[in-house]
Amino acid sequence: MTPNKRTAGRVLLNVVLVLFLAACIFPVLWMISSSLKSADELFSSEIYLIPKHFTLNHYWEVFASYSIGDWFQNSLATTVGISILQILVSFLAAFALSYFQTRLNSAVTYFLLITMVIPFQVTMIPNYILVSGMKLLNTWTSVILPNVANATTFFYLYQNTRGVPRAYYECAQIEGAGSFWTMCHVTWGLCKGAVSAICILTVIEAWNLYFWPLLVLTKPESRTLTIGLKQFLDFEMGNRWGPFMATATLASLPVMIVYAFMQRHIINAFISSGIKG
Amino acid sequence: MSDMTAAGRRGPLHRRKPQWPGFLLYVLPALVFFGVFKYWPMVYSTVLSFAKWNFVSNLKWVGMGNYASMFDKAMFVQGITNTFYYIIALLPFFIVVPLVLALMLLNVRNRHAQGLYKALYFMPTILAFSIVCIVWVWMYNPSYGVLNNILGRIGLSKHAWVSDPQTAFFSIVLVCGWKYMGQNMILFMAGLLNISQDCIEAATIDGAGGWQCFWHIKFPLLAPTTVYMLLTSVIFAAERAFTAINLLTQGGPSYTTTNLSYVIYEFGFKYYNIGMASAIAVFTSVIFLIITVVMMRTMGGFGYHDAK
Repeated sequence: MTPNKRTAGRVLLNVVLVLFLAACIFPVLWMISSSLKSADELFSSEIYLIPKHFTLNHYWEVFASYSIGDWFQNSLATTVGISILQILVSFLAAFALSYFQTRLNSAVTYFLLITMVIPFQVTMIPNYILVSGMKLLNTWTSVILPNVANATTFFYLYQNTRGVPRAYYECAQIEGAGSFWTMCHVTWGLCKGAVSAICILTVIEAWNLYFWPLLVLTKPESRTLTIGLKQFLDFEMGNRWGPFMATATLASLPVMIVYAFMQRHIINAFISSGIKG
Repeated sequence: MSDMTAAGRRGPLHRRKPQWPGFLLYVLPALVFFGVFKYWPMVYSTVLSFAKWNFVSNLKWVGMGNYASMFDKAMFVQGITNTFYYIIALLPFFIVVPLVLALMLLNVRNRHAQGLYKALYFMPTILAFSIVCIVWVWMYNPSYGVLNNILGRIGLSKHAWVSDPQTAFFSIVLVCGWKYMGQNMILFMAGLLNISQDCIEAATIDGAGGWQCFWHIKFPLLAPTTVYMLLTSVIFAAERAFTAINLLTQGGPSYTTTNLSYVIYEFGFKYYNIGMASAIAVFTSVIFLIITVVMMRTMGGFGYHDAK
């Protein structure tokens, strides 16, 4: 190929990539830009991203007339609860399966892994009946409990604990260490990277949960951010779009900030777990 | 890392005490949570699928009644056909475009540029599906939405997007495809990078051109990733598209956008026909199971992307 042709090829390549990229991030930019535009601009037919009349009014309105503080708090609490419990429960099981060797090992592994193919719809109604029977509707617990059981998280951690060399456990054993000490100091130490990777994905997944909270959180003050946002759709079109865009931006901000700092880490975690998200 | 020799497994560890009490103590939380929130519901759903119930009335057993009358419900039949259409319509967005983009992005030599592209393409993945769906509702807005403004600018006619039966289905597909395009591109890139360079070099020495190299070497070696994507598209079409359907169209107009999970939701939480909803849920999971098994059998393995 002549150098000219090669340059042309490279330019074309980048043009196509940039075009698709524009389509990919335009909605996100549009969301942020709409939240900063004045009401007149929002409904104008001109297309531009940088607001001409920059305003934070929509944000003030959201803080003044919606219980966004509550929603934020609910999202935070359920996310923390789900992530900690899900990883704790999965890690305990993953550790035990690598440390102990009993006849029950493979039975337990299959028992936990098979749940991966149970679709959400099958568990949805019985879980709803269960949670409402426990008088838990509209509480954080109702969102957290059913989400603790997650086969993907377990599988990912199990893949990693299984890789801990047997000799390490035997060493610990000879030195007189109990299983709990070994878990905290040997397995945890070796799997820290994997735990943090799955932790990030679990946090993002929990923060973005929609279907299940929609069923169990029906009172306005118990809603999470993702569910609370739905409220803006219930009004007639009118001028609710400004506050919505402001709330949407606020709700996405934590995730985007985390992403900005840990983007490489997140993408790698995503690739190695493959199935989350 | 993961291979453990048979000899290693029979090590001297814990020979004196029986191991299972300790073992059970550690796995107990997992067994309880998975048992209560996964297995029990599955059994309960199956039981409920043989009954007529609306959350408050007395349970009435109807045997196979729900399964028998399932196919008479227009909503359910539409749900199945649409799920099938979703799978087909999503393929370009889930597989073709991401694969092409991945191949192109690997040709970007500048490390920083490549990293930047990757980071930005992946961004829609981390945002909440529900939030971006409502942003799309705004962009689809017939009178003020940016999509119609763009169309108007280039001289095309405006559409009512989500409320027009002709465009509603496509609107949902576009949102779902947009959300998952970058993510699948990243997975394809990882898959392509995993292919041993030797194979490609050997093919090049034998005189294979770019296209031949892709079609005969890279594509077959990508099979695990592609199977995984196919599986996700099926699951997506039947299950996860729920969020988009719920927020954009509520399954309408006249069931044109409804899918299996939305049908279950409507029967259960709108008409309180728990028996029918459960029957459809059980039906769906059986189909899921068959598809999963067939795909794993025929194309060999879940693409777990070398999870260590």
